[in-house]
Amino acid sequence: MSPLDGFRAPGEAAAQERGRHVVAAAYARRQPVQRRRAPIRLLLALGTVAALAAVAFTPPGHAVLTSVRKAIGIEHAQDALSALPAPGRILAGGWIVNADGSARRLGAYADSSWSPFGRFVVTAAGDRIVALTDAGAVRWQLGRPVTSLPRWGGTRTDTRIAYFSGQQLRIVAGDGTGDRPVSMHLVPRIAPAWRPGSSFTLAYAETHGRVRVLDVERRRLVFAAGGLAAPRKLEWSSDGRRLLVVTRSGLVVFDERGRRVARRTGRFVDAAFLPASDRVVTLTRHVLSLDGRTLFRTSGELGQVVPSPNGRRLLVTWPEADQWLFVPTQGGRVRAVGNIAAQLDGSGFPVDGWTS
Amino acid sequence: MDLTARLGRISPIEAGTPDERALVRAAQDGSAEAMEGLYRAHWPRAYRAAYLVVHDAAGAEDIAQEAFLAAIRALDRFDRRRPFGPWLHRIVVNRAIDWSRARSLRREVEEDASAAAEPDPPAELPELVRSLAALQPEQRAVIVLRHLLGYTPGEIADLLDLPRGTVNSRLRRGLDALSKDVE
Repeated sequence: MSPLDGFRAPGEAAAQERGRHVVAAAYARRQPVQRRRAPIRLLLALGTVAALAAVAFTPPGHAVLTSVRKAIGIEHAQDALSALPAPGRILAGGWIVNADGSARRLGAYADSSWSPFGRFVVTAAGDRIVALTDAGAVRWQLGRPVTSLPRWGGTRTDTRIAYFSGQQLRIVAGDGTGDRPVSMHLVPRIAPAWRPGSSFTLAYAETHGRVRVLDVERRRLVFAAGGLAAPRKLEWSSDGRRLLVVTRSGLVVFDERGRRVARRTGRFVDAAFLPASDRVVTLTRHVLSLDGRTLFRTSGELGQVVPSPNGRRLLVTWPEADQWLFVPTQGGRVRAVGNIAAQLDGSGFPVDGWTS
Repeated sequence: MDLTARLGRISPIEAGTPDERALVRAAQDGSAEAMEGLYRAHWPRAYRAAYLVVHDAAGAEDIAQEAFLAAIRALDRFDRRRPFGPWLHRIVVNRAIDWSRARSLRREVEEDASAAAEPDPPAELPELVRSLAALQPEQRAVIVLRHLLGYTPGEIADLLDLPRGTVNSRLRRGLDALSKDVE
């Protein structure tokens, strides 16, 4: 018997389970060295190359290959995340991807968000709201039916979490206390958005194209806006002075008093403020743009855009290609990383946030 | 102080058994089940060894994970006639020493020293394990390798690329410190 058979380190079973997924995913994307290449395989490989060459030199085949290359200005996607092209950490599907490319699995959490300064993660796990450290340890959990879309806001010393329980929008303090409802009879389809800062001002979508902005501590309505065509996303600028509403037919930017200061029509699948600015990056199914300038175009179907914390890169998800694309905002080469689902155990779409 | 008596009888590290060699061969050839078998067989020791050097559960988890990922990256180059455990333990213990040194450096430069201070080991751990935390990481490493993983001083010298005399002196000083603390 070894002495280690008697010693158990703290958290061993949970750590082993988390590690098992990481190791299995890493092993799954490994490409073993071919020790003996059978002649038949060589012939098949040569046949495949010949077939591809034939396709490439026929007009339709050539067009397909060319469009793929032109699609994003890159020819090959990396098959593994080696390092992020900008500082920070990405949260996606219960995984944290660090700047050096290493990934930690927090658990089977598909609906999560960072705390304001990236120290913690909150996730909706069926009938619970769970707050975790960035190492995956549970700090507290709160039983509520059918939870979804948790969002964490506040300052370094005082935070709140907004989330849905069924059709109720509720808030709870960052330490898990003071859970209470804010609004009833909502459709839990659009995540609420905390205004950055210490005021605990929350934007959320009601039915019939209305958006309300509420000071939840003083229980005071800051402003309400109607006539919005099916809001899809709410996001504050990092200085808290602008609120972006992405709708089915375009986007609208409000100032802090509820005045519409910008409007664009278009079929946007996503949009976001660049950090430390009021510039808006927009994403349609095939085109990523900033200030009216196309940064990236593809015939494939794109899903989401998430700016890096320093605003120099945009993470664009391309689910059907199983890729994350990192697009520079100031020109330069697009970096694509493939096999995201395999690396993140089937997760990776959508991305839940990129924090510093 | 007799560490063996405190921790139980020490068994020597198993050389590459036929079963383990078969697992390594199958893992090299692409068997996920074989990789899972290697993981289940070796992860607990890797994690415990890392924990006993760094005394931080999250750090130990990262080190054990990274060691396995490094092993996967190097799997094709691995000589399957050799045992898998020492190969993995070399990675684990060296990374754990590096991790502990890096934490010491961070503590020196951070303004809020309390935020980076080494956490006290949980109270439910054996007294001997708690006492290990007071030693230098290099001393912890040789004690873990010798008395918990069962390597000889010569094998430890090979694993850590150290002169055998250095291993012996670290062992002796570490054990002396533990004797004062525990007895």
